[in-house]
Amino acid sequence: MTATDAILPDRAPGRLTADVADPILARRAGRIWWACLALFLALTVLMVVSLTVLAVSGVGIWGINTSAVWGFAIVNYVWWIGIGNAGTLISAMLLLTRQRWRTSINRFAEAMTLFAACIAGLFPIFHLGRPWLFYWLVPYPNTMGLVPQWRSPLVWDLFAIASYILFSLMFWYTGAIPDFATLRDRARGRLTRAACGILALGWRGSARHWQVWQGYYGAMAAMGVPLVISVHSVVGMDYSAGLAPGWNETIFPPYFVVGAMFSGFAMVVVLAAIFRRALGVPHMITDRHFDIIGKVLLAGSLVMTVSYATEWFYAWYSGEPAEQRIVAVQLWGDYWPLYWGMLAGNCILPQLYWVPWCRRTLWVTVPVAIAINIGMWLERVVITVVPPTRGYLPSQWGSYWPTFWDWALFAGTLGFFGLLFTLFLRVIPAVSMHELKEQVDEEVRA
Amino acid sequence: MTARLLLVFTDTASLVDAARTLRTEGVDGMDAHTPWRVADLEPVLEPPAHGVRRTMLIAGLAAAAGVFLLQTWSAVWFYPLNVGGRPLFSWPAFGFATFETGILGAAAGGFVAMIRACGLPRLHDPFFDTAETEGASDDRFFLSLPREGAPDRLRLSRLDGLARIVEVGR
Repeated sequence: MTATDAILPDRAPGRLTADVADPILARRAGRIWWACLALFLALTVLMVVSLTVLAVSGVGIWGINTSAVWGFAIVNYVWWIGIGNAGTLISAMLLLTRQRWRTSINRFAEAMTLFAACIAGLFPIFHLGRPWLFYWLVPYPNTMGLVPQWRSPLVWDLFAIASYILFSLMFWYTGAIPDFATLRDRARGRLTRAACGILALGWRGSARHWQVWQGYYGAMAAMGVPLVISVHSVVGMDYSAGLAPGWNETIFPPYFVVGAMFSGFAMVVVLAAIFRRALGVPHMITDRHFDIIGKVLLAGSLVMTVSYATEWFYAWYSGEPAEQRIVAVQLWGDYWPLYWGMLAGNCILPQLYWVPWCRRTLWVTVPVAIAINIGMWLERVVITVVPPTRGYLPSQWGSYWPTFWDWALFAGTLGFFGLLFTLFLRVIPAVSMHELKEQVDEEVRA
Repeated sequence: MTARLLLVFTDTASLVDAARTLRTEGVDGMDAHTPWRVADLEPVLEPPAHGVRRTMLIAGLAAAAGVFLLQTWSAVWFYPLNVGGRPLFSWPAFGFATFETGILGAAAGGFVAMIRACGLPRLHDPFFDTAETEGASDDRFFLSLPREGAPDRLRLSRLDGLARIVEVGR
């Protein structure tokens, strides 16, 4: 077996610690890192400016109107929460099924979840119109005598996303406590040592610690899978609880869950390729990892294709003219380039993953993964924009065109995500050292 | 903390073998410090049950029940609102917040229980008194036993794979 075929690195534990910890503790940031930081910081400023202008001027600066009431805000919300759902799902599911290749990718996939879910949460809040009153969605004793409307998908969203972010934070932090202890013991600077020491909480790696840690972490993984499925099902229910043709479909919750896993895995491919290059760890994130993820993406693509075909079938089989009109508008109407772009990104290009060489070759697999992410974004655009603008009432028909501020906020959040990841690379161990070393040790002893 | 001897090993197999040997010789109160979880150690050292998962179950059920009752009370009695003739007690719609909060309650309750069961946070511990123990988070394995009642150094030095002995907590 060659090094690129291996799932686990053939290195001593001490070397593995150095491989992961030294880029944080010992190596100075390179010029590429600083360039990325500057670029993403500039885009983050754009996000802050967009949100400030929005708060001052109101949602009228966006392209939404009385027909297309959701627009980019909800498109981007669903796209980001989809990516956000995948990290915890990947980590928890692979832990429960004892997949050894998980250990190289779970830490940054979970970080991806946290960052993306936090960004996703911004959109529904700012879409409220008066975002400073978003806390009215929370049940709390108040002099107005008001309580949330529990039958509203907006309230379901709040509970789903808030629970999910807090859960993911605990899951991620619990997994990282032993690695913070490693950084604490390895750091030479006083400040780094103190910061890592506080984050490690005094972890000593005792048999008792590990026994308790394992009990909690395993239970969290078992709860994480149904939680992720429920969170993205709630997002699907946002649509299917609506009455517009094209939204009021029972397929939406499972279809959204698979879509989330699909786009999240695609983002993991992109991030894994960046990490492999940035940290210089091709022995940890090997071609075999890309090979396995490529197979998962292929399966996801097939499920998405069946989902789209199911939508077309039921539009025809239901005999409902409004449903058929929605499908026709998506396929042949004003937004046809978006719909066909979606089909290209989600259904056609991933078929390259049938070829093992394509899965293992970075300059093929990464562009396909980016195409999937674009395809999934386009899917959210056509799902969000077309149904309300071609509903049951022809007088309500309209169109949607995003404004500068729609694009600026989207680009800004992409930059903010990049900024958080750029900082993550320099602050937190990007690979779970203790789990990787445990796997390597088990392999050596077997 | 009473004084303890830390037996340092460079591989997990020697650590587990040493723990088994000392256990059969009647040494009690042993613990280990390892950079990763060594599952084979647990049947030897038999750490006491921690009950974290029981706490998670109770916290999760309590949180779910609390939110379900809050929704029922507010929608049926406190602020009844007729939305399109739907029943006030719309329990299927209450399921989302109930489930999410139940999971969150279990996770948060379990996190606190885990931290408590591990005796954390504990930023100062005699274990940290020597720089030697920094290897316990890298690639060294420590078997910890109370100095009182421990076998003599000559006997300990004959354990297979032992690198050295460190004393802490004097």
